[in-house]
Amino acid sequence: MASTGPASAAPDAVVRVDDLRVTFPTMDGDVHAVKGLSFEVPAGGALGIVGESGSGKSVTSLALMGLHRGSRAEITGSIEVAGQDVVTASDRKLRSMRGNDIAMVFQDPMQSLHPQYTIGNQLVEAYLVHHPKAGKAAARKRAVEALDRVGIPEPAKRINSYPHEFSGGMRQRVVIAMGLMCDPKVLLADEPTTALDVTVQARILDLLDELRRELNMALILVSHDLAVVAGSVDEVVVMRHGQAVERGDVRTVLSSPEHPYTQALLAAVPRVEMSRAERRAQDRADRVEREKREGTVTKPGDFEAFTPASTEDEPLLRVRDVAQRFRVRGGTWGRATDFWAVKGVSFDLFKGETLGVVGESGSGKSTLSRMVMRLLEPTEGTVEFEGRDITHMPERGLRPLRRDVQMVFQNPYSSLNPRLTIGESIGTALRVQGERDGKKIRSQVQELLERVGLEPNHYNRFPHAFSGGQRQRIAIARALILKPKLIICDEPVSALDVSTQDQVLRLLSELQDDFGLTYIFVAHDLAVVRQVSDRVAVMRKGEIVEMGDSDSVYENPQSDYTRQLLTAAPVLDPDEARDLRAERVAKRAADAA
Amino acid sequence: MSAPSHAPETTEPVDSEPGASASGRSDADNRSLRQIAWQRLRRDKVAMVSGLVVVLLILAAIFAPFLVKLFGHPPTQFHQDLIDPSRRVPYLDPENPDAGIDRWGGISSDHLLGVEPTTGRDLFSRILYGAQISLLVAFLATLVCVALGTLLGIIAGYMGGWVDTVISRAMDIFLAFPLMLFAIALVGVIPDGVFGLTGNGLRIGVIVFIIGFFNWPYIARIVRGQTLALREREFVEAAKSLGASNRHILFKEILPNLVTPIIVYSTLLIPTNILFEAALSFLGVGINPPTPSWGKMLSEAVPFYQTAPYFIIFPGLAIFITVLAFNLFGDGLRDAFDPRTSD
Repeated sequence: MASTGPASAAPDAVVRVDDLRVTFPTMDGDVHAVKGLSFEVPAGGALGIVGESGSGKSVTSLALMGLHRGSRAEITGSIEVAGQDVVTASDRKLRSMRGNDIAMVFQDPMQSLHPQYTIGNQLVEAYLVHHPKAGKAAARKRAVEALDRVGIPEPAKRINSYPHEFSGGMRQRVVIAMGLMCDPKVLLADEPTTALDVTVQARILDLLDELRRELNMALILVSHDLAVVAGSVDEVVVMRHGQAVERGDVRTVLSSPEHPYTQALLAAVPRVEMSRAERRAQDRADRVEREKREGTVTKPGDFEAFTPASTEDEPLLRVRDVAQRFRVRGGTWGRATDFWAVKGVSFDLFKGETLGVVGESGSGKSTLSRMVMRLLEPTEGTVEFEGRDITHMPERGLRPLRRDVQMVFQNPYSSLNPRLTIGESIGTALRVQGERDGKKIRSQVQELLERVGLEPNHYNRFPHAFSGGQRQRIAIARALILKPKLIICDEPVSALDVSTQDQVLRLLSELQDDFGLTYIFVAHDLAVVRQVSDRVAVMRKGEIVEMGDSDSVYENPQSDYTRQLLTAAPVLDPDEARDLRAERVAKRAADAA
Repeated sequence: MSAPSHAPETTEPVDSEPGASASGRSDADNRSLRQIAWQRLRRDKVAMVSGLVVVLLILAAIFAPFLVKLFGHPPTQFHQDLIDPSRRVPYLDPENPDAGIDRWGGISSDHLLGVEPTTGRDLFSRILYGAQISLLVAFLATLVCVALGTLLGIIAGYMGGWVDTVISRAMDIFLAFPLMLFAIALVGVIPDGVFGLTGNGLRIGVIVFIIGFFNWPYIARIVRGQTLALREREFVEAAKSLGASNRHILFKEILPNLVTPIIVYSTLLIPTNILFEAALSFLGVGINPPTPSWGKMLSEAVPFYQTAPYFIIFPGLAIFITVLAFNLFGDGLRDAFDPRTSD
């Protein structure tokens, strides 16, 4: 197998990186962001660079474009793009290379286009910079072609639109079109789909794949997600702490990884084909083994499989036809228009079960969870908790309820008050609920810190001293301290790296076993939702399009939208990814016909 | 496999998170943001020097009577034997009046910064006592601004709706007010002895009131803007979902996050207030003579700018150095606390 990568010094390599090192001098000493990275990409080839946050992948992609010029970064080693050394090239030479030989697609299409110019202006400029003699008309013609190429409908008309008139996915297409204006030999896409919904992500990845094949362009796809690159690249480099821990053919790396880090990473990636039951069984087995190894005395039956209460009982939570209206200002004459973020959603939730709510951005899943939490007052419908109607309960009346229903928020960086120690943050709940004994609060908080896998002596630390995953553990401890019955998790792992995500999911699962918790688990990631949910509700535009037992929803989806989501979900197996792609392309062709 | 074999080992503690930039955290662990800011501030030479100047100025103002006893003469004591009565400026040599006048104001070991024209009062002690008035007024006025501005700003930002509208419009009105004219008019009409204050006590009270009452919108706007942003943060929602009251959220969750900007902007407001007091005294509606004030000294120095330029230079320098030091220190504080550079 040629899994050793391209034969060294392949004559047709368009990108050749050799022993690249990037160091940032900071006040706290040098930060070695990249430490001796080497790879090559042949013309028309595709390379995936995968790593978690802080692995140096973005620093590498910026270095390829020579974008560290003018910063204090120290770069050694060589980077060759289309035969030109980027490290030593003059600024002028570098400018002529950018866009011409190597073009870049950035992560956030909301920020990589200039809001004040039409996309036409921006595309034309990208061309004229490199072909000053071409003339505006020719450049414009090319721009229309490029927009057509990336699948913007009615390109001749849309070329006069401003970026805000496009959706996120369409904007990313425009950015790609801009990259194509000068027929680059290499297209460098740094997390091109991270800011996008899963169906849009699939379309953008399909487009990149198609362009690469048809234009014989080399593609470098940088991502934190192995599943995103799996179906789109030939070769993959797995980075960690600035080094390539593994490099080789994508099939080999994904099917039989050699480095322990890659193995751990692959094991942590949630798989959409794994069911809730399998995952739970595995988590419990792992836990038994771990506790045996650590010698923790576990009382028998301590975490016996917790079976959800029978559905004949009174449900813990009953939601009936809830709807939430927001008034959007700025219509004609400044009149407010109504926007229904959620409409007509009903479900029952029984003790001990987990309801997964999955949907793309704008589907109303966060609004729904805030209504159940009563951070928002539903405009219509009712919410009953343990048989009590809490729909319009005033804040004061809600206080006892706050003991029973808690929430874990999405962003662990903004859900903890940066000016309070984590002990204070967690203890607030007890204080608010009337506990005055400082010692008692402290001991309870410390006990809980230990339970979620942190040190009790972290009590006096401030949130900035913790990583994202640790912060999410703190947030979970805060939600747990009042011993709630129901915890609403709003995208609890979407801001975390894949290995951290796995640990937090395990923790949530263990806590469910130990405390008999009921969860509402809101997320956009289909695989994650499947593994934690007994039942799943698929939301779209404020409504539930499908709800049912999670295995049947995933294996036998009834609605078109669910099916579309499932074919769009990235998978780890390159061959399966290609099959899914073919399926998507065929479906789109059929729809177009 | 071409993967480098010298990859780092993977023996990490069970709970470590490979994604986190774990390096460098250990020593930062127990530090608060304020401690980190202090460490950053210490590395900022400009801020440290200006901070030192600020501290020295404050000490000099507090210990003015003591310093004057050591190095000078009482600020209101006349030394007309040093002054040429016809030209009203100091002699070059008081023993020998025919030697002419001294453009440098009779600087000597006895009078470190020379003496005032006309009266011969010791300039060094007058500038020291002037610092007392300047800083006192500036600090008190800033205190009023901060108190009013923080309270109204945080309420406007957090409550929103009509409360915000009313407070914000009030801010606009206060900012549009011709402050200087109002001050001149008010000082003119206010009778002596109101609120049990007389003389300079009354004057200081009036100036503090005017500055404080009309400058609070600057602080209020900043506080309101910050509160608007903080209100949307998830930790506020988290506090709400724990059952916290509005009062708890305002004062326990949001206010601690406002302390930094408030400190920074008050440090930057102090020099503005110093200048305002100087301007009022310059126009003759500030502190009453013979109590020394930098602004008043400047206005008295104007007729002598050719014959005794030092008389305009020393009080001018005093104002300049004070304002510059506070401004630079405030900038340094802001940089040290800047959230963009914090983790």
